[in-house]
Amino acid sequence: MGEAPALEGRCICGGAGWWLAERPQDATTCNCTFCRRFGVMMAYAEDGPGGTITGETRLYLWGPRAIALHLCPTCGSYLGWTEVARGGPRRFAANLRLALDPDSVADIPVQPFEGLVSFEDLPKRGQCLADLWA
Amino acid sequence: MSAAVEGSCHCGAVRWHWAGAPESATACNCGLCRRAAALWAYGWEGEAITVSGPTRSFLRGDREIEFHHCPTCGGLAYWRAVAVQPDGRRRMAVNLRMAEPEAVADLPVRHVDMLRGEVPGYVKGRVADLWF
Repeated sequence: MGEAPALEGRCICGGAGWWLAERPQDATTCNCTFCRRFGVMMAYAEDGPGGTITGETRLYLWGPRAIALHLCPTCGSYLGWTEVARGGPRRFAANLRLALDPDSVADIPVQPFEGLVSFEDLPKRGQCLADLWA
Repeated sequence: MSAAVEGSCHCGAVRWHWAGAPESATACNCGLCRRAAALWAYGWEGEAITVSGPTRSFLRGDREIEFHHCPTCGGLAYWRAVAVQPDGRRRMAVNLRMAEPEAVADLPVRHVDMLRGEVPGYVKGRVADLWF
C-alpha cells in the first residue's frame, strides 16, 4: 500500500488485523448462523488493492466454501473473509467491529443482508453502526 | 423451573446451558466486548450456568477473567472468573450471541460504558434492537 489506509482494524489480542484503502459507503449486517454469533459489520473491497487481512489467521470454511473465514488463532476474533481463489481478482471483507477507533466507523450506514433464507439485501432502516453497539 | 436457554458456537463443539431464564443482557463498549459483539448474561458456575466442549482461553489484561472461545470456529462462548468467591462460588457469564435469536430477543439490554467507568450502566431497549 502506498497511501496510508483509510481504516485499520485489530483483533482483541492484537495478533491479526485488516486495513481498507477506502472508507466504505456502508457496512453489511447479516443474520446467517455464523454472522449473527459475531454481530458482524462487513465492508467489502478487492483483496490487495482495496485492503487485506494481516497477521497470522486460522481459516474456517463451511457451507458452499466460496469464502474462507479468517479467525485469530489466539483470541478467536473474526477478522473477515477472503473469496476462495478461482483466478483473477478476489473479494475480501473486513469486520468493522474490529476498527482501531470505533468513532471512525460509528456513522457508517448499516445495510442489512438476509443471509439465512433469501440471500438478498433488505431495505436500509436509517441506522448507522453506532446504533448497533453498546 | 423447567425453562432453559441453550447456546452453542457455530460448529457446535462448545456449548452452554442456562437453567431458567436470564433477566437481562449486558452490552459493554470495552475493546474486547465491542470486537466480539458480546451480549453477556451473568451467573454462577454449576448453578445457572453449565458448559461443555474444548475451548481455548485467554486472560484479559487485569488477569481476573478467562475468555473461552471455540478453537475451530472462534465463537466466544463464555467467561469464567479465575478466583472463586469466599463462599466457594465462581462467577461466569455466557455470551447470548450463541443462543437461538428467538430465545433471547426480548431480554432487556443493560448498557455498560466501561470506557468511562460507568458501571452498572443503564437499561435501554431489547436484544432484538442490537441484533441484525
